[in-house]
Parts: sequence; structure tokens; C-alpha cells
Amino acid sequence: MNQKYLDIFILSLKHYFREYDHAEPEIGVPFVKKGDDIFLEMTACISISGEYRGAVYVTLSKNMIKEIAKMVLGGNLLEDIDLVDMAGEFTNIITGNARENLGSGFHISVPLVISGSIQNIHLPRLNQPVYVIPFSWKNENAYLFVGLDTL
Amino acid sequence: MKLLIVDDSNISVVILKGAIQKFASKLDLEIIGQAENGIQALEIFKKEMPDFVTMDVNMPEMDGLTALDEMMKLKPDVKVIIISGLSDKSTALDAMERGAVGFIQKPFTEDKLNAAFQKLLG
Repeated sequence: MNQKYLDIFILSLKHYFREYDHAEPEIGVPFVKKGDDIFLEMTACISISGEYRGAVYVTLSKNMIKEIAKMVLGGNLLEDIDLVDMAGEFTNIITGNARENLGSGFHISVPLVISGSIQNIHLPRLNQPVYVIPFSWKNENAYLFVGLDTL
Repeated sequence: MKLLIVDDSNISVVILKGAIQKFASKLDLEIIGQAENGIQALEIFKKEMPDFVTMDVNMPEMDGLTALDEMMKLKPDVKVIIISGLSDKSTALDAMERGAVGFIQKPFTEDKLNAAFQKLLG
């Protein structure tokens, strides 16, 4: 995986927030995952198949998910909003939008959302390292992980 | 005219319903149900035979394009609008070739939906 792939996912992230006319997230300097991941309160994972192999996952705080829900609902945060659903749909759209650049051979699964503390996510053995893209928005930090091999 | 909403994300359904309800009476649309996967959608479709369907693609159990194929067999004049985060052109073209009348990319806002619906159904 090279810089091109990282740029594609950064573009997807920015596009998501821009669509709702809100300030774009601040993107930190991407780094290579070493050892255990950094996990926040909710983590949504999507596995990748087709012409690629690997996974994309996003870990976020509940506060950030609530803020995202408020944004997409036009400021009206429902009391019974399903944060698991919001985290999954957010990750699904960020990953799905990457197909614009990665093509139809980039197959994505439905999101799997893990709530609470986890120590690590073990991906299939990849030839390429897993990259971490830190981003912050509304004073909350989150991390997008991209582990992809091209077949 | 009857409309069925198919999406596995409840938050997307909430946004869709909110947007559609604002122009439903103008277009004589009535939301008759919602489904969270293709199988559930087909069950409702067979009972209600809706005129319009909004269809997500990436869903568990049965994806939206497979459900679209089945719906076109059951009711060839049904108008299916694909609403998906899969943003590549080939997914949109594939959906159109299978009989969909429109493709709206997620993320979407109410304004974007309103404009697309007015254009497609108005």
C-alpha cells in the first residue's frame, strides 16, 4: 500500500464531513501500526475482498458518534439514537466511497461493530503494513486503520 | 403510489423518511414499509407490490442488486432508486442495466435527496 491509498481514504473522510457543510476533520500524520491498536469506545470493521485483501476499521468515542449523528440528522439528535448503527454506517460510507478510486474489484463486507474495550484486531497476514490515519473533529480524536494487499 | 424503503442502517432510514415525508403528498407517495435486507424487502414487496423502492446495496443476507433483480422479475415497471455508499461508476451502471431508474450516493443530505426525487419522480 502506498501514499495513493492513504490519500483515497483521507479524501473519503473529508468528503463525508464536507457533504454536510461542516468543518472538515483535522487529519493527523498517518503512521504504521505497531503492536496493539488504539481502541476507543466503539470500533467498526469492514473486511475487504475481491481484487484486494484486508480490512478497514474505524475506532471512535461515543461523543464523536453522537456529534456525527447530530450532523447527519440536521442538528436533531434523537434520544434513542443507535450509536452502533451510526458507527457502522459511517465506516461503511467512508469505505464504500473509496471504490470511486479503487474500482469495483474493491469488495466490502457489511460493518461489524464492537462496543467497548478490545485489545487487538488480527487481520489476515498481509504483505503490506497496516496504516493508521488519526483524525479529530469537535475536540474528539478517532483513528482510521487501513490494511490492504492488492492481489 | 406506494414506496418501500430498504436499508440496513436505521439512521439512513430516519433521514430518508424525514426527507420523503416532506414531498410525499406532492408526489402522491405513501411509505408502506421498510426492510433491512433484501430478503425482508422481497417479502414486503410480494405483499404490497410497491410502485417505488429506495434500495441500499451493501446489506446482510441479500444485497440490494440481487433484490433489485428479483423485484424486476415480479414487477417490471417498478421504479427502484439505488442509494449507496458504493461510489464507483460501475456499481451505478450495473444497477441501471438491471433496471434501476436512479442512483444516489451516500452520504446524502435532505436537500440532495429532495432534488434527486423531484428529478426522478416529479
